[in-house]
Amino acid sequence: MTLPQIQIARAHWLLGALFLAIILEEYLPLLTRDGRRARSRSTLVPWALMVGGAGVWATCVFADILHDMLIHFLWGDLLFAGGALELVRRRGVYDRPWLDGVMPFVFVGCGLLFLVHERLDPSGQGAHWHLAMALLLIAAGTLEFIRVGCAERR
Amino acid sequence: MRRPSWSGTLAQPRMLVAFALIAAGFTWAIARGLRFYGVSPVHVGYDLDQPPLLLLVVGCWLLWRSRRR
Repeated sequence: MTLPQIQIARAHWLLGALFLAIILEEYLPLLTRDGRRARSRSTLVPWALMVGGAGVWATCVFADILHDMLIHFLWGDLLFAGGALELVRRRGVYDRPWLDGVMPFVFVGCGLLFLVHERLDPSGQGAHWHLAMALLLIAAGTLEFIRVGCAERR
Repeated sequence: MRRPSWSGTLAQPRMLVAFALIAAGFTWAIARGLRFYGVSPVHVGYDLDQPPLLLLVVGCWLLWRSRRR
């Protein structure tokens, strides 16, 4: 079963909005009543990552190109694993220092997969977008790794 | 000393970004135009699943999440 182009576009718009909401929820600080900046650390973020992962996996059902299926399957794995690890931490049932690296690892991993996607299909319609997403996610993940590293040293 | 509540509200970064997203969504919707597919459940999904409207939805959601807790 292959979806028409407009349905594929609709799925991308929906997932794009979901991931925009995840980034804003995670990284835009909240001002508390005493004026301090705090991150929300909401369990919505890991849930949304897992929902996004399931949405990306759905491509494996509808895609008819092997590399699309492979890349989207790996994206789904990464998002689901990252979401699950963040969820257990935010619920307080499992907490280890290495879990600080989960979100940046997911960012860098997704960015590298965008890069592979672009390399496998350089003449595809979304090639420029894939490259832009790859660079942004790798940069964001690297900056987050640096932030986490600096916070651990303090 | 506790700040006046309005200045704290204006300084809330989430609220500023939310208003920027809502303004961008409106501008995009006017510039690009929106399609109306119908009012049946599937078509309402299509009506909402358009980039400017999704941006508006994210903006409104962020505005709701910017309230003090």
